[in-house]
Amino acid sequence: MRFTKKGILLALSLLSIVIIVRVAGREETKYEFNVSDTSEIEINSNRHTQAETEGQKVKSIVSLDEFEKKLENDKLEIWFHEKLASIRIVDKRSGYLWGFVGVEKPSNLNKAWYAMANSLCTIEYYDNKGADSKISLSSGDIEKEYIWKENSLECRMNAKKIGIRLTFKITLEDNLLTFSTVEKSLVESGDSKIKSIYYAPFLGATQETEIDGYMLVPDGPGALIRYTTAMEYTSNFSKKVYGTDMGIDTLELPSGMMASRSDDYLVEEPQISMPIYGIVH
Amino acid sequence: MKKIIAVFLLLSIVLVPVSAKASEGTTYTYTVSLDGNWIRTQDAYLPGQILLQGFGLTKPSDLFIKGDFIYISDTGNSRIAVYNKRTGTVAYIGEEVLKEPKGLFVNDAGSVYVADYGAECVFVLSKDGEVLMKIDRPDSYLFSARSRYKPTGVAVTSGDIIYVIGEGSYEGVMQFNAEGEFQGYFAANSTEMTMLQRLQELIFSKEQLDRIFTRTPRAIQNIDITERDLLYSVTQNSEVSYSWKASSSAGDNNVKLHNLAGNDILNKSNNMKQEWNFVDIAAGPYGNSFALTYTGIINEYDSKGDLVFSFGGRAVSSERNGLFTYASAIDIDDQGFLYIIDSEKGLIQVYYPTEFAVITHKAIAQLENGNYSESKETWASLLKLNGMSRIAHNGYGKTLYYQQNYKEAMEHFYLAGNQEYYSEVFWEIRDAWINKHIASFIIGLILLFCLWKVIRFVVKKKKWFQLENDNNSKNVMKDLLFTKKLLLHPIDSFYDIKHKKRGSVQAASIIYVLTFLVFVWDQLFRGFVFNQSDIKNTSLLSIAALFFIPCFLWVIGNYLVSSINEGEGSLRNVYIGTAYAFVPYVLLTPITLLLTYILTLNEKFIVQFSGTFFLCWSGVVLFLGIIEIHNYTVREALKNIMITLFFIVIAVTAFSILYVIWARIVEFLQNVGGEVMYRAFY
Repeated sequence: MRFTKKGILLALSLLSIVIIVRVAGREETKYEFNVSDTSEIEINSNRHTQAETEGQKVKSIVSLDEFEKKLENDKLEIWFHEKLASIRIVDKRSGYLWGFVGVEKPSNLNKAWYAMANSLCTIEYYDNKGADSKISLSSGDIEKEYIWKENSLECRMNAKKIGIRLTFKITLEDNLLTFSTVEKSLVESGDSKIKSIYYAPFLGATQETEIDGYMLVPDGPGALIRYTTAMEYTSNFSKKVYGTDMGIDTLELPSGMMASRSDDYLVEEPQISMPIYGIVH
Repeated sequence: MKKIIAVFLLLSIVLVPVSAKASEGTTYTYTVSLDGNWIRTQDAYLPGQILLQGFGLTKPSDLFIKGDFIYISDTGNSRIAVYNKRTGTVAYIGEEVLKEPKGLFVNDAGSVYVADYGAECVFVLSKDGEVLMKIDRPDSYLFSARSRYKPTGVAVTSGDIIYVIGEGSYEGVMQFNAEGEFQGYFAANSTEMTMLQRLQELIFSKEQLDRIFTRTPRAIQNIDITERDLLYSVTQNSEVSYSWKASSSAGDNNVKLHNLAGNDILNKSNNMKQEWNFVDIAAGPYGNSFALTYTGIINEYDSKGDLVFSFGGRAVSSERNGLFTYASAIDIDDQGFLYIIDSEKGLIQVYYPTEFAVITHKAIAQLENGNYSESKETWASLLKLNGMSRIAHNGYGKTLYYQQNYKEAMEHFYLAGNQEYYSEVFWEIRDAWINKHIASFIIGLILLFCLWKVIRFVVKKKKWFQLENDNNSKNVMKDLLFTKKLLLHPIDSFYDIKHKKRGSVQAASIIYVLTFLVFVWDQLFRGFVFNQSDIKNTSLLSIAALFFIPCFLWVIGNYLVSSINEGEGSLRNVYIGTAYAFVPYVLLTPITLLLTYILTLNEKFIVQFSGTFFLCWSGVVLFLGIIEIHNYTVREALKNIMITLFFIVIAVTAFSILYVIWARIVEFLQNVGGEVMYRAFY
């Protein structure tokens, strides 16, 4: 009897020791304090240009139908369409054709935007009531005169209704096509005041993912925006080159955090110091 | 020509203003500085890629990460989206059964728990979307008949206890067992009453109270489970509060870690940096947690509830990756990457830790696991990176403390304002000092005692300070020494003041000044362990106003009140009497104040008690003084004091009204003046 008691006691104490040892020795899940491999997540962030797809030869999305050849050198050809006031550029080296938008009006552009999209030049102005509107070169309200020379085009446009006159010049030189406003040709004779001039704003335009490519914008050291579906763009890119105009642009500060932390949490965006843009497709 | 171009290029590089970028991220990372305010620190987390953009998620409200899969409750489309991180593809489950899925949780077996707000139940789905179980509104008598059952969040422990929270679940977290049976409530917030409510509670009858308001605690906003099966909860404030001090006055923390009894085991609220609008919390892998506000602020806390980092923010004036329009949920994966849902934009943003964050986490974990020597090095490297970080000073100080390097540890706790640990360290240092010097200390004490005896003997023989019996000469020194008698025989002394013209206005004035000095000492210059003041931001003028204005009002008020209440005291008597009532405070409080330099929080009681005791002593003397000076009974004296206090309140109120009116008059005169000037001169 005594032995059984002792035996039980011994067994119990042994058991408790085992339990204690087991509990004490239960390994905490070790956490490794190494920086995880962030390469993929980093490359896909906006601080990098993101992965490039396999390069392949793309077919141009515009055609030369209804256009006639006007200018040419050993690298480029310029084709012109009078009604649309539009051009096409043929790169002789690769055979690739650059244009604005197609001859047919795309369904997602209205008339004014379509005119702007295809025109060489569009004027944005404030009318006598101060409202701003646009008028494009292809508009019937504009009297225009094209003077073709050996390697240049001079276009005199006169929007009589609003009293704005302007002459611009397109020069073909080696592999460059230069747009320039002729000095002192801009005249405002009516109540309307000019706001801005667009030259070929839709040159190289593509829709969503119809063509593989990207564009370069002068953000920071230069940023690429790859073409993807509209859903995947969070916001548009719109910035002032050479900094904000303190007289016009309000100094915006984020607010509405409704938090104890201060409102100066945003890292300052880099200022754009050079107007460089590019399109690749 | 080439040279010129080169020069131009060089010039253009030099002259073009290039703004220096301080950070790679979109938002700065903040931590708590030594003075308890926010301070910028190195980037802890950087925004990475965007997931699920363009997949058509509508108002997604919650996400859960299990291995390579991210489960998202696509609330607007009544389904659960399962995103495969490897392949980048999405599968959908529960499209047939779910109505308005909100919170979700996935256990190790792969079962998906979905809190369906619209269907008013919790679904348990299999991997393929089959309904395994449905937890409807419990009909248990434990379940409050009044409360609604609108589940918004769910979490499951490894032991299959199911925690559910719902809209307006004031009773706390609903707890179900593995079979879906209701077990009871868990971890409710405590009710908070405003001053007005307390007053109403006092006055109103039970029926009235029932009619006026249903007093309910704040409902829990969201929950998460740690690896050790502890429950994190976040709660929102009912009112917007911009400062964390105001929100902490609510009593409960907004971020809580509940132990098995449901009690909060994080820091008490006055030490916790928190926001009022938390929507979700994610438990980190080593005791840390990430709380998210709907404005996109992400606060990381360590296992004690101290703030480690704060980053992220709202897309208010600029849309950039890393900012949120309406953040709704946060979770962390095995690699320590954070995934945050933007409900408004319908996408997930990924934040990944920088090396700086990883080192900080390492330092914290090493300290908690007791690897002090390694931890010390890590903290030291962090201190080099940010010498103003409170958490780094605290961490470094703790490693030094556990390595018994008390002197240096004390310095860091002092800088970090950590009174608790400073007190601990100081105790160790003091202990060592006492052990070392106990013998010489006792000998010194005996010597001092002998010296005192000798001095007393000599003084008595030569009669240097026997001024009390010398009634003929009258000087300020004598009046001041009169205080000695006052300490022990207040009633007699006040009799003397009144009838034997003892005491003088000069002496009283000196006492007022001395009292003020002691008061300043008490308010601002206590020993560090007992010092609650913020000396940098306190003006001496306000302290002076706090002291002299009540004194002045008291003396004037007491005299005026007594003169219409058959009091006998003159203004002079009241002035002197009040001054002498301060004597116990002036003479004895310095002892307490000196003690604050050598005592630790363990002996807190001595400081508190002696402080209160000396103050009460002064109060009693003042009371006796009033009785004696005005020749009052106790009852009359009490009445007199009450009326005097009332006078003070009225005086302050009247003055503030006058001040406001005066400001208006000045404004009016200025306007008239301006108008006249304008008409006359322009």
